[in-house]
Amino acid sequence: MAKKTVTLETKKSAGLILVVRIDGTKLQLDEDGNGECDLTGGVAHVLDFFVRGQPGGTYKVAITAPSESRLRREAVLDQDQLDIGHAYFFVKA
Amino acid sequence: MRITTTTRFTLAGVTLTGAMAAMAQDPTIRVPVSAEYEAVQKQRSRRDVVESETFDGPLSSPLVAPPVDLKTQLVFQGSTKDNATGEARIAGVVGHVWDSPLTLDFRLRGPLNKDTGASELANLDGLLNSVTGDLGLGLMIWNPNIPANPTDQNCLEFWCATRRADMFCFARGQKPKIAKLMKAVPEAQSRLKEARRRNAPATQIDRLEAQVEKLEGELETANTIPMPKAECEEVLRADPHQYEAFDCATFVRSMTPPNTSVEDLDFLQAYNAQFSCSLTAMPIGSVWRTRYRSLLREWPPPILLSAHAVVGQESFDFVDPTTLEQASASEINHALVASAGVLLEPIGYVGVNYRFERSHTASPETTLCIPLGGTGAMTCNDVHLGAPTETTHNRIQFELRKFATSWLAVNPKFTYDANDSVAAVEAPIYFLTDKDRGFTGGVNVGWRSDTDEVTATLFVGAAFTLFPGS
Repeated sequence: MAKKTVTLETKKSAGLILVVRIDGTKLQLDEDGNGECDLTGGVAHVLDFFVRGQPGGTYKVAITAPSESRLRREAVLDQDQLDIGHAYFFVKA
Repeated sequence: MRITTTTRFTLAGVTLTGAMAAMAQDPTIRVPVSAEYEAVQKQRSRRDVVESETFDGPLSSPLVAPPVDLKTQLVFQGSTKDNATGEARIAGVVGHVWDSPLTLDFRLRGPLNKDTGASELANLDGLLNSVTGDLGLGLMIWNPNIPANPTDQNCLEFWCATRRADMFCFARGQKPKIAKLMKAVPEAQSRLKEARRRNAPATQIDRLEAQVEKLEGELETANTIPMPKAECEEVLRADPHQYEAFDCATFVRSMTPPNTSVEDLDFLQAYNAQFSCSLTAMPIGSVWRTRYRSLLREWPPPILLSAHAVVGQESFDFVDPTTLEQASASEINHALVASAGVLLEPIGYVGVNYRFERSHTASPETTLCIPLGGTGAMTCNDVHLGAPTETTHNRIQFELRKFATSWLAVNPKFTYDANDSVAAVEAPIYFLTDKDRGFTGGVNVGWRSDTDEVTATLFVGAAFTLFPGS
């Protein structure tokens, strides 16, 4: 089945650490927090993200391409100093 | 599988086109966030008590904790005239080790010329006077992972309990039952039709009719869910006459229209699967959040490692104490710094930093007076009498970073210089907060073994972070 390139952007405030997995595989982000991977079209995929850091720290995780897969998640860390996120997205065939 | 946004859902004859369109445009669950991500505050590491007293020369960089915010950059910058230094820096991710980013950071730092404002850091012969070269490697290892099934289950329960994804929950929960009924109803109808065609006994037809009626009823029941009260009330407000007799307590939403296929149920799942869920979206103290947090225990903790090699050249002008002649010497200073830290639950970030340094210190300045010819007068100058002395330091520092409560954070440090046998304790306690930046100030209580002095100072500075900043 054909594969499509999925592009992901992340942003975080200073002192936070952030890890992103797509379908369980850790995505290697560049220094600007961007990454991409090739995914099979026509099926659903899973995005997991993990953030640790000080309360008040902010982060954003967004799938920016392809258009049908776009999603965006942003939050402020609270007293748990942690966020774990889980989302499905689709890549058209 | 079809993915369309046609009006396939009805509410007692009212199409949900508008709601569907709104959800399609904005299918993500949102939580409050700050208005804008602010530019990352440049943070400068604070020097601890021991270092400011026992280290000098160009090797003045503090114990360096592993950075977590290193970005590829090539920087040439000069600081203000006050501290008058210039810096060239190149840094970035150079590879991955254990699935984790390995960063390299190289910087040259030297004094600015007070007249020209320029800083010449190196030439073909190497580093110039008082210039420091710093080569560092950093590694941040953190490989959390969530087993798919418990996460799905946790999210599903959260979504369904908080009514964030009714259709998703419905489709997921009811799909097997509806699929079975969708198959059973036409089969029963077919059997009834066949019995009538061959003029079967009335008792058999009655039994088949009852069977069809029962299955159709079950399908209809399985096909609806209680409607959220707010949504129901909105519908009633929009058309009070049509729904005059309805009560929101019993109002149901038909999840699938007539003639829905199993593929339509797949669509329901697909459409609603675009909802995301995360820990911070769940109420503090809720069972879903507790369940998520418990996963932390299954992960290896985040580990930060770094190593730095620092080298610098420094020239000294002095007076030879035996000949009283002017002399000069150029000395190489160097240091090796290694740091490691780990985030332990529930203790906080625990770090250890070690620094070995061999540097040179100018001899103490003294006033030297020599006869001025045969006049009996003297000429005096402040000079360094004697060659610079070499000093070695082995310094180890332990650090804890912890956000104790929502209004208190602590960063105690213990530092020991093995060569001078000097120990120092420093305990910044943060309780002053900046609306956007978090903890930025508080009281710093310190103690040194050599002077046996206890100090307490109020401070306001860079925002405190759980991990050592950039």
